[in-house]
Amino acid sequence: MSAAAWWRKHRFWLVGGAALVAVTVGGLVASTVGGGSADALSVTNPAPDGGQAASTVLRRHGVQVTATDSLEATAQALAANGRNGSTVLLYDPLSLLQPGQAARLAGSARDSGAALVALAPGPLTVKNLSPEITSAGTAAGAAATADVAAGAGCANADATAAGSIDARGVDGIGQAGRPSLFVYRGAATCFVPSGGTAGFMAANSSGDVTVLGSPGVVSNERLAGQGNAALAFRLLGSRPHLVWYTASLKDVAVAGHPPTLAELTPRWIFPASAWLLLVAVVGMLWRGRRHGPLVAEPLPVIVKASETVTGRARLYQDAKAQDTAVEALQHATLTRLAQGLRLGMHARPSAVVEAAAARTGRPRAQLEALLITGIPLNDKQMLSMAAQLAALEEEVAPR
Amino acid sequence: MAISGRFFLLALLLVVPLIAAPYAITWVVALAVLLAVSAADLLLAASPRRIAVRREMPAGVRLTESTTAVLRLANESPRLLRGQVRDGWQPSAGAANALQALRIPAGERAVVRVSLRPVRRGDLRTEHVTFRSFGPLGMAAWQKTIAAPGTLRVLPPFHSKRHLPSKLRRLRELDGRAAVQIRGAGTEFDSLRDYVRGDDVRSIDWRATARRRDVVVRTWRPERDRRVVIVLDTSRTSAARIGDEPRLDTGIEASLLLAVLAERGGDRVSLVAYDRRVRARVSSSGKGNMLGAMVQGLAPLQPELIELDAAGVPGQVRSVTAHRALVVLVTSLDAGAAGEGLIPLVAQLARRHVVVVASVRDPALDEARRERSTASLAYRAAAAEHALNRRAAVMAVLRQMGAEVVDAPPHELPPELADMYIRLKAAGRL
Repeated sequence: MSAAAWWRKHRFWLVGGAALVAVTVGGLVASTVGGGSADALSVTNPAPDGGQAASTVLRRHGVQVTATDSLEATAQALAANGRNGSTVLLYDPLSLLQPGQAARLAGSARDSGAALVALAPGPLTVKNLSPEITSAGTAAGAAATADVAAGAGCANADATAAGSIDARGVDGIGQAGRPSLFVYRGAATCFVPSGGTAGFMAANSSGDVTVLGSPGVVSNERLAGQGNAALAFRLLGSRPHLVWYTASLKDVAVAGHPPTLAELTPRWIFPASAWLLLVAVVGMLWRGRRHGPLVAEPLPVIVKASETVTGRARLYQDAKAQDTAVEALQHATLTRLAQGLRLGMHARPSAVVEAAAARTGRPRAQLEALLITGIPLNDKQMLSMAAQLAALEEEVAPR
Repeated sequence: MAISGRFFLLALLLVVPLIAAPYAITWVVALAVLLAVSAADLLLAASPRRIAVRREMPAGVRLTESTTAVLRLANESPRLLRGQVRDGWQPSAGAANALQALRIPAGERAVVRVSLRPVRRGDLRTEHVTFRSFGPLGMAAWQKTIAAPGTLRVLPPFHSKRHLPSKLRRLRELDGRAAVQIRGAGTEFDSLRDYVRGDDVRSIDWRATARRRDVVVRTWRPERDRRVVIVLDTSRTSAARIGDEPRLDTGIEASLLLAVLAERGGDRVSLVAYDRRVRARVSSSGKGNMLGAMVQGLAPLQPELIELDAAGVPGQVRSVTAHRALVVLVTSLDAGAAGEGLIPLVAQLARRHVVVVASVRDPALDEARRERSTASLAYRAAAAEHALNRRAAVMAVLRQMGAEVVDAPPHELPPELADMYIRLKAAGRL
C-alpha cells in the first residue's frame, strides 16, 4: 500500500488521536503550570475577583498571610500565632458556617486576642460574631456607591483614615456569585451610603470585630479605588499574622452514621442468593453433561477448482501485466474465431484476421491491431480491448 | 452420573423455604435434601453396565436416501431400566433420533430404531452407545458408554441413472442395423433377412438370394465381448470441487453409467481406481450383479492428496487384460504436472488400445471468461482464458495421439462419456 493510500485509510484516526493527545497534554500543562486558584477572593487568584493583590502587598510589608479553608485550621493557626498576634479575615460566600461555628470563631479570636474582619457576613453570622453589630439588609443602587465617605458619625480610626471607599460590587464576589452589598449597624457605623442609616462598615466598641459589607474593597479590581487600599491594609495589616479564612465544604458538619447495606437488605438475601448460586451450578451440570463422548467427523478436503484462476488473476493485476492478460484473451479469441470461420485448428493468426475482416467488413489493420499487435498500456486500455474482443466474437459468431 | 431437569427444578424450589426461614440450618437442610434425593435415586437405578447391545446394520444405502439402523438391547439387571440411549453416529450419518427415551423391564429386551439420512458418501461409523439410567424419581442417573462399533456404507447416488434408458435405446438401435452403415473390420455377422426398399444394394447376399429366389440382405451387429477398462484417477486433482461436488464424485457417476451401459452392450467392464496404489478394482465376471459390486467398491473412495503415478497405469491396464481394450481414463486435464504426466501415458496406451480421456470442465471458467465489465473481472477473464487455452492445448495433443477426449461440465460428463462409447461402438473401433 502506498503512503498516500495509507494516509487516506487512517486519516481520521490519526488526526483524531493527535487532537486528543494535544488537548490532554495541554490541559495537564495548563493545570500544573498556573498554580493559581479561580475562587473569589483567593490569595492565589490574580483575576479581578481575586485577592492576590491585597495579600501580596501585605506580605511585602511583613505580614505573614496564611490561607485556611476550615474552622479547625483557622483555630489552630490562631493558637499558633500567639496572643494578640493575628488578624482573621472571614469570607463565607456560600453561607456555609452555622451560627454556632461563627460563635466559635469569634470565641477563638477573642481568646487569642485576634482582630476579626468579616467580609459580607449574613445576618445570623453577624449576630454571632459580635452582639453589638446587626445586619441592616442590602444596599440598593449600585451606582451611588462608587464613592462613599466615612461619614461624620464614624468612630473608627481606620475608616476615618481611609476617608472614602469605592464600595461597588465585583462580578464573581458575593452571595452565589452575584455582586451583593450589605449594610450593617454597630457601635461604629461607617461609610453610610447617601439616604441610609446603616453603613458598609461596622465595628464593635472594642474595635476587634469589624464587618465590611462590600467585599469588593479587598479585591484585585477595586483595591486601588478611593481609600480602599488604606482601609484594607489598616484593617488586615495591623498584626504580624493574617489568617485568610475562606469557609469551604470542610466546615459543613457531617451527618450521623448512615445505615449500611446490610441493614437495608432483607435477611434472606444472602442465604437465598448463595443458594441460587448453587442452583446455577446444578443447572450447568444438568445442561453441560454430554450424552457420551464426542464423535469425530473425518472431514474431506474441499478445494475449489477455480481457486487457481482467481490466484492467477490477482497475480496479473498486482503485477499490472496487461500485456500478458490481453495476450491470453487474444489467443482465445483467435482460436474461437478460427473455429467460427471454419479455418481449422491450426490456422495462422493473419489468415484469421483476414477472414474476420472479410466477414465483418472492418478494416484489416484495425482488426490486426486488436487481435495480434495491440499492447495495452494501462488498465483502461486493457479493459476496452477485452470488451472489443468479446464484441468481435459476438459479431462473427451468429452468422 | 447425570442429573435431570427435574433435579434442577427441585433445587430451584428449595429457595422458597430459604426465603421463609433464612437461617444457616435451613441451608444445610436444603442441601441435605438434594443430596439425599440424588443418592436415593442413584441407589435405586438399574445399572447401565448390565445392558447387552447388538446391532443390525442395513447392507448399504444410496446417498440422499434414508435407512434405519437397529439396536437390540437386553436389560440383564434385576431392576426396571428407565432412561435414555444415544447412538454415537458421526454427524454426517444424519441420525434424526440418535437420542431416545428407554424403558425396559428387568430381564426383557427392546428394539431401538435410529433413522439415518446420510449426507456423505463412504463408510460412516458409530463407535459406541451411551446409556443413562434414572432412578424411580427421575432425578439422578448413572451414565455408561458401551463400545458397539458399526459401519454404514453409503453408496454413490448414481444420479446419472436417469440417462440410462435413452442410452440403452440407442445401443439397441445399433443391433440389427444394416451392415453398410457400420461396415468395418470389427463388425460381426448377425443374420439374414428379406430385402426391403431402402436397404443398401451392397449388403445383398447374393448366394442366399440365389437359394431363396428372393432378395436377401445380410445384417450385422456390433461386436461383443470387447474389453472396457475404466481407470479412475483418485489423486489430488480429484479433490478439486467443481460445481457442488468433488471431481471424484463426478468421475464415479460417469464410470457407473458407462459400466452399466457397456455391460448391457455385451462388453466386459473392469474398473480400477488408482493414484499410486490401487484403491478399488472391480471386474464384471459375466455373472452376478456388476453394478452392485461396483457401487460397493466405489463407495469408500476418497481423494488422496498425492500425485498420480502415471507410469503405473499401463501396468494396471495390462493386469486387467492382455488384449486390445477401450481404456477410459477419468482424470483431469489441468495443465502442469498432471497434464504432462498424462500425455506420455496416453501416448503409451494409444499404441495398443483405444483411449478415451474424460475430464470435468469447470463451468466457473466459462462464466469467468465472459465477465469483462471491470478491470478485476477482465484480469479474471484473462486468467480463465489462459487456463482454457492450456487445456485446449493438452486436448489437441491428446487428439493428435489418437485418443478421444470428453470434456464436459459435471452434469453432462456422464451422458457425454456414454455417447462417446456408443459412437466408438457404432464405428466398430472397440
